[in-house]
Amino acid sequence: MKSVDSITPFIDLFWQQCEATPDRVAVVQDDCSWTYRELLSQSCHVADSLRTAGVQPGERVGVCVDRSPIAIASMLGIHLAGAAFVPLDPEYPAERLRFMLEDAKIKTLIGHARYRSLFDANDSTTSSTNSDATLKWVDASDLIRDGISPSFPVRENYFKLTGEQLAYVMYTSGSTGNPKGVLINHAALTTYCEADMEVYRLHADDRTLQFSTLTFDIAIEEIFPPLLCGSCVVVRPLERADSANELSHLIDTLQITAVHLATAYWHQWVDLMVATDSQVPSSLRLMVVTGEKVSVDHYQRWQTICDHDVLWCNAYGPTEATVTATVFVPEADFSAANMPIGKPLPGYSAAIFDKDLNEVAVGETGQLFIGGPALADGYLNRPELTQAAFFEREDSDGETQRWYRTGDVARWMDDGNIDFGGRVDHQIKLGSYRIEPGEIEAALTSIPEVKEALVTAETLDGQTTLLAHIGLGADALSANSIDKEASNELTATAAEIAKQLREKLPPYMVPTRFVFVEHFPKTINGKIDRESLPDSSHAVVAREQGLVAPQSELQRQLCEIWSSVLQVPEIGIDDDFFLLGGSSLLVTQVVARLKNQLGLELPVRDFFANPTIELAARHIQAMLGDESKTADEATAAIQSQRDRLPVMEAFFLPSGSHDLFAVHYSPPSRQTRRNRAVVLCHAYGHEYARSYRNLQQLAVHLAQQGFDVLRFDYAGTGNSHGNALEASPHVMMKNIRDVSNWMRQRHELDSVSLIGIRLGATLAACSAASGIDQQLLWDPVVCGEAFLQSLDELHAETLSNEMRFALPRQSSSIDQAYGTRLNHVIRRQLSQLKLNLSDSQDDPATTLLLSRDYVVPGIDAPQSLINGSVIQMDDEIGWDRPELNESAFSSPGAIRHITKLLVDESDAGCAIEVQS
Amino acid sequence: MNPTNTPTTSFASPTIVPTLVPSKQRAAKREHATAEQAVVFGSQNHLVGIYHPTANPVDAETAVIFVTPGMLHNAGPFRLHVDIARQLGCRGVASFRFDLSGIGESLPVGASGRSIDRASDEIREAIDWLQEQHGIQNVILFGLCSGADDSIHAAQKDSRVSGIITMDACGYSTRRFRWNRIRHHYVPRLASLDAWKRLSRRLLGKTSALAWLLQLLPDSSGPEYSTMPMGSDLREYPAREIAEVEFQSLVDRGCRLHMIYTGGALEIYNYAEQFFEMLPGVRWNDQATVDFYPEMDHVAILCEDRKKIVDRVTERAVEFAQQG
Repeated sequence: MKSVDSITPFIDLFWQQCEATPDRVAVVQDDCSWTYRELLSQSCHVADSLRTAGVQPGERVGVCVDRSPIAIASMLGIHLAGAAFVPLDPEYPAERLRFMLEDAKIKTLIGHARYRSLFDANDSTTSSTNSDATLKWVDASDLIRDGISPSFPVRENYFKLTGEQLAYVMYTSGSTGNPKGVLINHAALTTYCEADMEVYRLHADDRTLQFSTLTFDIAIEEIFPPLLCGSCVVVRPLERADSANELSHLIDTLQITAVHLATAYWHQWVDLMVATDSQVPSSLRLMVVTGEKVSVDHYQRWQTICDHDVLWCNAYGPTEATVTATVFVPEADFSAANMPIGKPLPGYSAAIFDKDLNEVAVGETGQLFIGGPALADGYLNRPELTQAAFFEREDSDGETQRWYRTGDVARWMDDGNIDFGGRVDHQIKLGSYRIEPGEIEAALTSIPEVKEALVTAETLDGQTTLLAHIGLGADALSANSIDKEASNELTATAAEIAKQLREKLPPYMVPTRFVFVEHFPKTINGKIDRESLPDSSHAVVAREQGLVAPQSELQRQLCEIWSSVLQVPEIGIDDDFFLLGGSSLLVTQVVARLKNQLGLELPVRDFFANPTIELAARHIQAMLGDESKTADEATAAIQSQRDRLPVMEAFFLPSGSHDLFAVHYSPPSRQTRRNRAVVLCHAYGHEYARSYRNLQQLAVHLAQQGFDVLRFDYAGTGNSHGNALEASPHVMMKNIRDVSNWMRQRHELDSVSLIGIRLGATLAACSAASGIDQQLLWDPVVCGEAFLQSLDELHAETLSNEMRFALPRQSSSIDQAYGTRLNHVIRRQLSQLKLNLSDSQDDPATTLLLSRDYVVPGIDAPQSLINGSVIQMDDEIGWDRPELNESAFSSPGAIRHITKLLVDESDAGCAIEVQS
Repeated sequence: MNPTNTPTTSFASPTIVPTLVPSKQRAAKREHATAEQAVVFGSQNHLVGIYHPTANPVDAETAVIFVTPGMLHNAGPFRLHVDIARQLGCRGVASFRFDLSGIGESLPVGASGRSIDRASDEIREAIDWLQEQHGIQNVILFGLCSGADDSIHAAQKDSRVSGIITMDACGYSTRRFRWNRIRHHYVPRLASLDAWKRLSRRLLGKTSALAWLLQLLPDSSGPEYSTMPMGSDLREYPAREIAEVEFQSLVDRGCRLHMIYTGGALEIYNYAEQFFEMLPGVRWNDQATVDFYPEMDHVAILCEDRKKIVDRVTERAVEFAQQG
């Protein structure tokens, strides 16, 4: 085994790679592409900047940066400055981040400006001593150097590292109530990278997707090994949520060859591909699944949808062994009940010992231990923990080897692979996370009402969630009996506790179910008697206020399916599938699961007609011939549903020489009216059809919140009078002015709010409509000429699209673009249309709502379009994806943001303020 | 609001005082247009529709109802229904286009039952409304795709349906269909190794796909109503034997039929005469006609195609109305 000192640090191997392949692309994200020479140059610039900022070798530098090329350059630059990096996740509660700052003694932090407030000591309610005043903030955007020096950097100008020096600190869940920092040195990082390259057969033509957050060790394997073989790290675009359906799109469009995924996410992705009858993207050649036990069922499904050679690997490894310690590559005919975790990587050792640290025989279970130079140095500031987890042992050859106690039960198989058997202790594996329940328990007991707490995992129908037992004390609980009112009270208590926990812990560490007791039963030696605690059947769910729980078994099953498909932990029976984020694609998943799990086959449009759990369950019962509901009960249920929906009027209203079709939505009779009116401005062309349903949902939702809403069609579009050649931008802007006036007069208001989408947003902003108090512009068309050009390109592509036409069609003499008739007047007016909000004043208050995949050709930062509020949303709509041109979408994020903005204008402060 | 504060646009935004009361000059022009009537109807006031009247009806008691296709609202794909309604109005046939519940503007109130039955119930409510408000006794249903399935199904349940015009309705295989399918669809794929791989994997690995392929075999007996696989469309048309009974029933009671098929439905329909050959047990009595437009797509996205459809549907609907 190599000594730590003899192992070349990663940064030197990377430098050699840069010298060998300076002009190959090293990292790319959207329009940003850096060669190895450029990445090295940027990294050196980071190192220079840090030295200027006073960073000393051996220091620990915080990195609170989104996935990006500069994040990678920052980590490399920190090494070149002789320091170690500490990834910090901006999603963590401020208190947790401040603990990490203090624990790691971070004096310098590289971050985006928008995250700076997270580290502001003045914002703290804790006794943290680390203040903003002592923290040197290095803005990540200042580290990006335009243009690189023509001369290659000189290695000697940067700090020389050795293998035993610290490379980074990766925080994981700790049992004492605080996270613990795992110390990884340079030798460990190199050992891991070299093993990774060998096992996964990395080569220069690979394009590895950087998909994981930087605080998860999957990011290490996504970034570092590929940079040692001249291949390319393709960073996932910023702010992208974990949505399985976009992964195939990313892999296809970015020509990704290697992907590393957490197991739970991979399971979802396989399910989605199976449900949508799609294949594994053809560019993919390496699929690494890691984090928890892989379902063999999913692996077999994967084989049915993968029609090309892919190296599929089940990887296992704790953070304390850098990343991956063992890998299993199944044969094509693999059919065992469990997926093994394989054999140790090159440079790693694995052993299975009994409780006396004697090796167990093949087939016998024991605890898994990992050895080798890739092991962590230990835990930062936790000598007792380090001593308990890492130890040295003399083997039969008389050699002493250092081992890490994984806490996992395992056994050797006959073929030399290792079979994984779960956790030895109470540490919880939840999705990709290892959670120390003690940390959650500590957070729970910091809540004044909670006297005692115990957190465990429970698995129901294959889904693992956290269960918290809470001792409230005799006084608190004696007031509660078992009646319904008391049950509601406990549900409210659970909701309040969960709310407070969310301020202290990451979302994945907040239990979903709570069992309340007066006091915990104790064993004779004073420990909690786990066996005597009430079981989870006594649990209440930390429901959000107003959530209506399922009443029947079918409703419960539907809730579980929806919850799983939508990735929403709690669903009430009157929640709307589409307002929770359901799209037509996700409906197909629900359809597939209904068929597989309940044996029910339903057409998709049933979901449109029955969009809540309550309605869907009743519909299914009726389909199954369940006559238990009387006709009166059915009528009452329909009436109840109708009462929740708005009052509608449909009519034509005048605008110039046209009559415009309009639908007015008033709040349901039981809803208090806000005396606020909203006008919705539609998109144009094929985007009208794409966004139609979403605007209708928005109208219904806003009316349910007390707004009066008007949805209308421009002249020459939809059901309005006039022909398509009359639908010019001038006419449509007049329509907006007239409809706004009509709405003000109808409700006797001084002003109304405008919400526009795509061209509707642009027209609303340019219409000079009077009496507008607020305008919300959603993915506006910025340049009419570019929009027109995209319509024409789309039309040309359509003519030769074999999915639409059996034989290619020729352009005719009719001026048209993707279903919409055009003429020179519309073309001229459209091409003259330009949106420029940067000079606009505050009247009316304007907010830009941008979908995650919204792009403006030629503009890097769409936020710069406006001198005002910008809200970057998680929802992705795919305006520029031809395959979605006729698909309706749902954007619950937009509906949520719009509602919030309208309900309380002051809440617009949550927006990212951007100066033009 | 200060106009100078508005976002810039390279053409001037004219300052126009909205005219809420139409001028006399414009009133005459609008008179015809405003005759269109937007309504909210249905047992729960949850359905939205638009009645398009006609000045010189060929039959005052007959109107066309447009049934929504798939998830598209009542204007139809690229305003197809609006264009047909206007031309029908000019040619003396009134019409009514409305959204089924959960589609377009119509609200989902949770009426249970099969969606095709729910559609029939709501079509009946639309006919009731026409009867009560405009004295309509006979209706001609126009439906595209799932709207075609709904139209044929609704006609079984309501004798007031005197005619049906469909686009890309049901399709059942025939010997010639299968030969065409092999020749024009499968043979070109024989040379593709990837296609073979995909096929074998699907056959071996996915029982649902196998079931679907088996449905294409001539003698397979499907369920009474089968749901087409996801990705094809939201179709609920009956098995062939039931379809024959249903069509025979419609013909026997004098209901006229005009079926339009496009190249967008080639996977179920690929030659002009297939309609009659796929339902050999039906005695049509010259009451059914078929158009086949193989060059056209499923929703007639091109203006020139849409005009063909508008002209042809209008022509047939006027004929149906004239014959009462």
